[in-house]
Amino acid sequence: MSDTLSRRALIQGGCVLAVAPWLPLRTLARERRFAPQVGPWRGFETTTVVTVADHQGSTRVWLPLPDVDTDYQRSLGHDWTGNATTMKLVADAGRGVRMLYAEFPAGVDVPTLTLVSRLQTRSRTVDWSRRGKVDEDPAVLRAALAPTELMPTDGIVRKTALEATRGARGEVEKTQALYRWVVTNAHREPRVKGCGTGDVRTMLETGNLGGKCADLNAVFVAMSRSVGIPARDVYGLRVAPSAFGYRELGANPAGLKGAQHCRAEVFLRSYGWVAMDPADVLKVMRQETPEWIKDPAHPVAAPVNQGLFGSWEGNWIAYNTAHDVRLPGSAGKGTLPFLMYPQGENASGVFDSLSPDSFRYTISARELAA
Amino acid sequence: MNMRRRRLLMGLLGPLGAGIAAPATAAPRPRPWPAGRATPKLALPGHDGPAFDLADARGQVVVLNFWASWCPPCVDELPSLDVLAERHADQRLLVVAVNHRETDQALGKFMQFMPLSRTRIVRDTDGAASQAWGVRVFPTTVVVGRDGRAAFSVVGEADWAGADAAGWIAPLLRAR
Repeated sequence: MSDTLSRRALIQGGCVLAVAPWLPLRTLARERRFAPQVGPWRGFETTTVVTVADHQGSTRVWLPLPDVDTDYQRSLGHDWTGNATTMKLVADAGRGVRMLYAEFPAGVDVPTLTLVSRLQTRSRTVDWSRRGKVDEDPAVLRAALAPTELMPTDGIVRKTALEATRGARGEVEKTQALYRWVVTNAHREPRVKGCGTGDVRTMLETGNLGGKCADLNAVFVAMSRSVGIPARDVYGLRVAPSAFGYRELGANPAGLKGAQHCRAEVFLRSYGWVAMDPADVLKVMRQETPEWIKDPAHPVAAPVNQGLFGSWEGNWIAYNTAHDVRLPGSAGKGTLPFLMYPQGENASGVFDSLSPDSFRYTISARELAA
Repeated sequence: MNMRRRRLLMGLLGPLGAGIAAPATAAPRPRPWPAGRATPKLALPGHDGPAFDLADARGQVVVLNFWASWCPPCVDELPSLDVLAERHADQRLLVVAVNHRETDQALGKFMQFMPLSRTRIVRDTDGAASQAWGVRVFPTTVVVGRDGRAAFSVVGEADWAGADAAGWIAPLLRAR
């Protein structure tokens, strides 16, 4: 790639001139590489173990499943064990999402549930030079354009998206503009010190686009939908390190609690469903180096900024694409914005899914031999 | 590299940071409760204390603070709410901290490190109360007057022991 090589030469040349001579060149930021390509399938087995310490009355647990079958993932089956009186697959059929449900009566000493799932996954990418015409089920596209509880597509969401895409021609340029908007604007300090519930409208109103409380890919998806580009979040789990050496884009398979990650995809008529992940660009910018990188053209950030527009690395598994999920059998009246973490409740209330220590669960993965 | 890919790459870099000033965090300010919007009900179980029903609190100024222990700005703000409750206890002001969807165990663990003397903790176990009160950011504080009607809300962390907050609350305290 000629312009990449010329940029590298320019950066190195500039750095040599600008930096004091006693600093070794290896301390300077090196441009890295991030270019997932469709390759062979990789098999993984994931194990989720839930133990309920605060057992009061009967306890109900719901676990997400890697249940997406596409050109980048194939499910090979699920098995489960435990001391629950009920263990079965249930579904929120309206949202097209299945999950493992377990119910433990009051008499069980330490409720325990283990879910083992096997699947294959691979990287995905798009060849921008090969335009075609791709069809999709109109019902799927309607769902990928509809607002959800936390992703409205009117008001400030649409206003912001229209501003971001002003001057953009066609679906690809609009998507580019929205992706760039998310990467650029999440650097700002929030106007309000608080934690969002994931509501995109509130994130945009308060400028609170950072931290674990926000889902930046939800902002991208909501804005895309608001200007007529079908888009959806894909909720899943990192299962292995990145082959490109980016620490923040991988996980340690031995301990995957906290490795949940939501990606995104958009439907472009000329290309079909295309992978997107501006949230991971921001993660690299925020956490890959000791300094917070503010410039997407930084040599560490640039390859990821480029690569995650159209590509995903196959070190992650997809659970589902559902929003506003009902948990069958739950005593709660509301819906979940998404199902990506183990969920549980007992007489005392709902377990904190974001705290794997208080709601005790572990997740691990192992790669299966080819 | 073909021209289409080059355009895509350049499009992603965009005008790097051009014209985008980073606004400072704004000082929190009260927003009047929307006219015509009824004050929701609130009746919730207590954590380590009696249940609370807003309907029984007529005649008091009630400061409802929606919070969660996993939210750092909520945790930072709680002590100032307790100071507020202590300062105005004899003026019939009550601070009620409405916890969002945490279990007794999680709350108990947290409260060991955050003892509060005057703040009542109640539990919104399924999040229905937060939804009813339109809470979309934690912390959000809604102040209810002695007539039982919501007067204003403050979104985000605030210093409830400070002069600004004193100014927001004073008119409600003066009302009989």
